[in-house]
Amino acid sequence: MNDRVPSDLRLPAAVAVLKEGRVTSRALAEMHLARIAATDAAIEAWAHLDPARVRAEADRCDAVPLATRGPLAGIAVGVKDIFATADLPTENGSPIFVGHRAAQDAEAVARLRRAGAYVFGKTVTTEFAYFQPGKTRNPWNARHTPGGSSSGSAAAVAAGQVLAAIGTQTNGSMIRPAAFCGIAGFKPTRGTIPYTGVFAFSPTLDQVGTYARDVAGAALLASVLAEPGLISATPAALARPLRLLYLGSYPWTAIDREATEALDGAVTRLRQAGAEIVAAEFPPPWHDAHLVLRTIMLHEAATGLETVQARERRRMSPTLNAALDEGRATPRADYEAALRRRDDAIDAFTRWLAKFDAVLSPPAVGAAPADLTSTGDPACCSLWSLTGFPAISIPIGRAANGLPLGVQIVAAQRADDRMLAAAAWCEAQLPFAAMP
Amino acid sequence: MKRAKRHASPTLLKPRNPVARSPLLGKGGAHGKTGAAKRRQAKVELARISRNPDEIE
Repeated sequence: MNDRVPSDLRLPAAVAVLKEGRVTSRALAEMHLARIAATDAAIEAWAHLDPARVRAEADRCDAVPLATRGPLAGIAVGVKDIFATADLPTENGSPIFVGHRAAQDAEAVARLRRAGAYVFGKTVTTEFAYFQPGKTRNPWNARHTPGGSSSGSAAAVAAGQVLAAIGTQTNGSMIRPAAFCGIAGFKPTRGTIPYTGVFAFSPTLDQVGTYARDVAGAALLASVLAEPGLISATPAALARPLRLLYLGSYPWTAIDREATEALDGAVTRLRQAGAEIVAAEFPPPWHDAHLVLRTIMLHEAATGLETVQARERRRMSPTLNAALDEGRATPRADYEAALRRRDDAIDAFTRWLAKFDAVLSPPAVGAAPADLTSTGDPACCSLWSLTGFPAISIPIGRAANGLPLGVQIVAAQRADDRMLAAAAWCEAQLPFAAMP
Repeated sequence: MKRAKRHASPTLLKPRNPVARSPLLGKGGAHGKTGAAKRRQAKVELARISRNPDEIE
């Protein structure tokens, strides 16, 4: 194998050959480690990675009899460094938590292990999963951000270092990195995957999500993590042509020309393939939805981190301190009003989507910016994080500078399977095979 | 004149250890594979599948 050329192997195919015993978890682990050795100096996707531990975990997986193996047997998963892990540090992207060891695994991590997978390593997160970037750079161009806050998870999958990873989203932390790195990033309906044991920035908004190279891989990983019966392991084939809404922009931000052209082109191709696509205007009563999210997010973060900030303000970034100060200054009544607005938004957008299978919209305002001091603008994700609707980003092309562009596909709460089926169909019509 | 090689007397040969384990048995019989061979095969199979995942059924 040439470690400088990424493997075309996808998660569902790897699961199949591991289950048959045609390939060992150890061989897969060695492939991952070789790829990391060849690429990670420029990317730095990992907060904690111990090759000896990886090999031992892979050997342990290989020792399990074929007949008793779980649905993700032998699969190595990158885990964002805000998930508690009993056997690796959990530092939350902050110097305050350097060397911190959790007493037990987060529930999502425990489910991974029960399914036969193992934690390959902990991936870099922004500081407390907010905006201050970590060390990770974009695998397509190391001068560009990979997005955040699930920076390392997205970059590692994009670079072919692992086949799957998990992350979280409070505003745009799954979808934006997926778009910037050219992979599939899936954020299920809020609450579908338990958040227990994961650092909570905003308990009303935080959600666990999955990364893989394609929709099928992201769905498979989510199906194992989700409460039973909520997400199917394989996206269903469509029984009829799709009815889609096309929301080309959001009132609180501007989408750049290249991203709009790529999305318009994708819409044209999907129409030619048989989808009915209706262009939509953003509903005027919700032009402030991003501010509703901000009120809830920062007020809850300020409350949750109050004692840490009081003690450790100097070891927190100015960006985070300013956000927490803003959240603390928000009157309780404003926060409660924002929660009521959120409930209304869920009702309103559920009705808005009732006659459609899903929404097509930009996942980010453009390709990943050439800036390592920020993680880009999450504006295209705010509405769907506020409502807790399921969303997935898939790559559809590349900007002139070579960086990926994507489409975000969204559906109403609990329509995860329908959304994944739509996304898998769109992915088949808009093939994107490029890797960094 | 060349002298004939002197061979040890048959009576000096050590008797075969009757409970010694044949090396062949260590890899599952004459057609079994060693651990190294299995690892090598898994690596080759993975490389083949990585190049062409479509061939996975």
